[in-house]
Amino acid sequence: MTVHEPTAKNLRERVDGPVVVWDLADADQMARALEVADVINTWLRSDLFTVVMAHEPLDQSRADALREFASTLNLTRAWIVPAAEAGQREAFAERALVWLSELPPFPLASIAEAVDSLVGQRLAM
Amino acid sequence: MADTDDNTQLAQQLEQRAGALRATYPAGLEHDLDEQWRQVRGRVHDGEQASVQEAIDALGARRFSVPEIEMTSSFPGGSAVHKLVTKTVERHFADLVTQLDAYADLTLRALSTLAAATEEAQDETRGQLAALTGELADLRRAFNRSSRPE
Repeated sequence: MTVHEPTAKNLRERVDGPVVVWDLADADQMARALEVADVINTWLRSDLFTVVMAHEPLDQSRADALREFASTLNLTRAWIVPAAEAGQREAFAERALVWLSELPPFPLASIAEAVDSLVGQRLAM
Repeated sequence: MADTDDNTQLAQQLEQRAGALRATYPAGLEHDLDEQWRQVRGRVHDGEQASVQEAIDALGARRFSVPEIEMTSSFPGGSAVHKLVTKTVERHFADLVTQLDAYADLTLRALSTLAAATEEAQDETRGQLAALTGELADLRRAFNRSSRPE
């Protein structure tokens, strides 16, 4: 699989700090991942960069809602990817320190649980 | 990617600080964030706006017309009667269709104006809300920084 070069270049040149990638099934889970990113950037690691990616392409309105949500949280270290190409996934996989592909759907994992899970994943590496 | 030692150190820092965070987790933060998401999700209706525009476009593509009237008849002399009636009412039908088309044009214009005004108001309201929520987020961050665990 060929790495999507613009994405790889962007990650190389514009993104510093550890990168966490969430590859999630729906917009609600992606919103929770943004909340987790907000908590982590505020209290734990201000340099953590979060990629929140839809596993299946999202429709435009949901993608817009997520971007607006990230904007309301003043999240400057988050990249929302509503429809990732295979090459983009490769680029994210190359750079990701942690790759998380699910949150329990019902109920969504709490922020504290998700942060714990992230730390757990990180420790497992 | 950072090397293994850095990763281990980072992981230890994260674990310690995550523990400290859980102890001082602001009450209601999770609920507030979820509520914020519900509000944002609830007010984005681009799909609906697009379907309103599609419906208006479809309306614009339709025109009224005078239906073809069958001239033949199975009754003796029926065709002559049909022709006579058709000739009599055709002009009235044409006039009626002109009136209906004019009315449809006015209705369509009114609907288009209404849809544009709604969209404009929605954009403005969204902008105002975004500005307000941005200010709120700034305040929350300032508060978070002041109560940050060491």
